Formats: sequence, structure tokens, C-alpha cells
Amino acid sequence: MKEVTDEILNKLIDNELSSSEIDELHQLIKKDEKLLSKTKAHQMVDNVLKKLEIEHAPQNTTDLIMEKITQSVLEKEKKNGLFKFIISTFAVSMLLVVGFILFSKPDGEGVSKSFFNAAKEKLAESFTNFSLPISYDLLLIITSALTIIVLISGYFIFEEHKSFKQKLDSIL
Amino acid sequence: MKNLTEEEILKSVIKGNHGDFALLIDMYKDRAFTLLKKMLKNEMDAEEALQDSFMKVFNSLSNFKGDAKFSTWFYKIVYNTALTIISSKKRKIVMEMSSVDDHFDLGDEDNKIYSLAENHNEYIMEIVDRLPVRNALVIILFYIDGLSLNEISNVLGVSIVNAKVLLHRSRNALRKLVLKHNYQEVLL
Repeated sequence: MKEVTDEILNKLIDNELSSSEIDELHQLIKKDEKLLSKTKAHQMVDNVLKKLEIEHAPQNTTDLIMEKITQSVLEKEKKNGLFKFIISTFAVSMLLVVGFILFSKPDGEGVSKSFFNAAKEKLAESFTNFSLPISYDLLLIITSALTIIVLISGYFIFEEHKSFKQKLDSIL
Repeated sequence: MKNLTEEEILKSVIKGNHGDFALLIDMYKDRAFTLLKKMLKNEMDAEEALQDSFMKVFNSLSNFKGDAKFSTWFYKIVYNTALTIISSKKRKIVMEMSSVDDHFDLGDEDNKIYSLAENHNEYIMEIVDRLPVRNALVIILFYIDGLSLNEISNVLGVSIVNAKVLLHRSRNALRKLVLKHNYQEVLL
């Protein structure tokens, strides 16, 4: 060690010097008062910095942040809920319309065809024309399956709403 | 009050128990506030940044993969939030983000601080408050939060060597001022 640089003093503080290097440094310090002062000052800085204190955040910080979080969660859920509601309403109404057309009883003979009977025939016709190898029975099965899917989705939406309420309670 | 570890709190919040986030706030709010106050040099801004930081942490908690320590990830968010506030306040960011090089001079302010300080502790603490942002930040992260140089380099987005240089230069600058006022003589 020819010269004691700033880097060596920092290494001394960070315990990165070997014992032989520390001994060598002590020998140099003994001979050089200026170096002694420099080392003392460096150690003083380190000692004071180790005593740096944490400043306390204002007391209501946690409450304020949790309030903001509650609001943001509510807004998010509101948006999601609205979207789900629109989609579900649309799906249910579509199913109701299709179901009503397909399952409604035809009017008696001699009676002119109602609008729904006409629509029903049209619908069946369009299925046979476009699709297809879909029979009337198959169509019924598909419609029933869709109805079950919508009912299951409804159940999940309900469950999600319940868990959201629980989350909300945990925040509040 | 629940007695959960940091990891348990994180898992719980990610699972949907948002109320447990309050435990995380209580765990980190003081340390983050200290950091922000040193960076923004203003209590009001620090409070605002503190709230913003925790909101960001809450909203992006699901993105925390656990590759790094939570504290490193958290301080990175706090640091970036403070930078955003500094730039939004249209402060001269270049000045704010400058760092101590070989020469750090407070001019007349130093004499004022020296005359008002009752002892070397008070003097050094006051000077730390006046260090450029990055230098003050490195000191806080190293001495108060106990982060390693590797973690500090992750928070600041610099190399480990640069983080080390920042820490050493901060100490050197403080040492020069201590020597200037002969405070080292206090030590036996």
C-alpha cells in the first residue's frame, strides 16, 4: 500500500480490507497525522450515518391509502359489473326470443298464422337453408345447452358478487 | 392486529384479501416517507408521492413475481414516483438528478449550517439533507433500509459500480466537510 486513497478508506469502513492491509494502514496512520485525521473524519461520517433516523409518515397515511384503494376497487368492480350485466342481459334476451319462437304452440287450424309462427318457420327455414345439416331436434338441444350455460354463468356472476362483497368487507 | 410475515401478506393481498394491504403500508410507510422527503425536499410532496407509490404497488402487485426482494421492487416504484413528481413540478431535473463528483461545495450555506449545528451529528445530518438527490438516496437506502449495493443498483437502474461510486463519493464529500470544520478532533 503505497498511498492511502479514498477507496481504501471506504473499503476500511465496509470491512473489505484484509487483516494484513488493515495492519499496513495502521502503520501508515501512525506516521502521518494528516492521514489519521482523514481516517477519523471518514469513520465519524460512517458512525453518524449509521444513526440516521427514520422519519415518521403522517398518522392517517394508512387510512388515506386504504380509502383510495377501496374507491379504486369499487370503481373497477362497478365497470366490470356493468359490462357483465349488459352481456348477460343481451344473452338472456336473445335466448328468450329464440326460445319463445321455437317453443310457442302453433295456433289452431283455420286461424291465420301469428307473427311468431311465421318467425318460427322462417327461423327453421333459414337453419335448413344455411346450415346445414342441423335438424330441428338438434336445434332444440343446442338452445337448451345455451340456456344451461347462461344459467351457470348467472350463478358464477352471483358468486363473484358475493366474493366481491367479502373483499369489500375486508377492506372496510 | 394480524401477525403475518411479508410473504404471507403479499400472498393474502394477491389472493384478494385487500384489507391486508394495510399491514404492508404500516411496514413500509415510514421508510418510504424518509426516502421521499430526502428526494423531494418537501413534506407535502412526499406525502402525495407516498400515497401514489402505495396505489401503484397495490395495482401492480400481481406483476410482482418474487424474482427480486419485495423491498427492492417497492423502492423502485417509490423512486420512480418521486422522479415523476419532480418532473411534473417542472423542476430542473438535471440539477436535481446531478450527483456529487469530486467537488461538493455548499458555499455560504455551509457556514450557516455549521454555525447553527450544536454538534457534529447535527451538522452531518443537515448536510445529508442538502446532498444531491441520488447521493442522499444511496445513503438512505444503504444506511436506513440496509439494502446491498446490488439492490441499490436495481432500484436506481444503475450498475453496481456506479452505485458504489455514488456511496463512496457521498461519504468522501461529507468527510471533506467534517475535516474542514475539524470535527474529527472530537473523536478520541
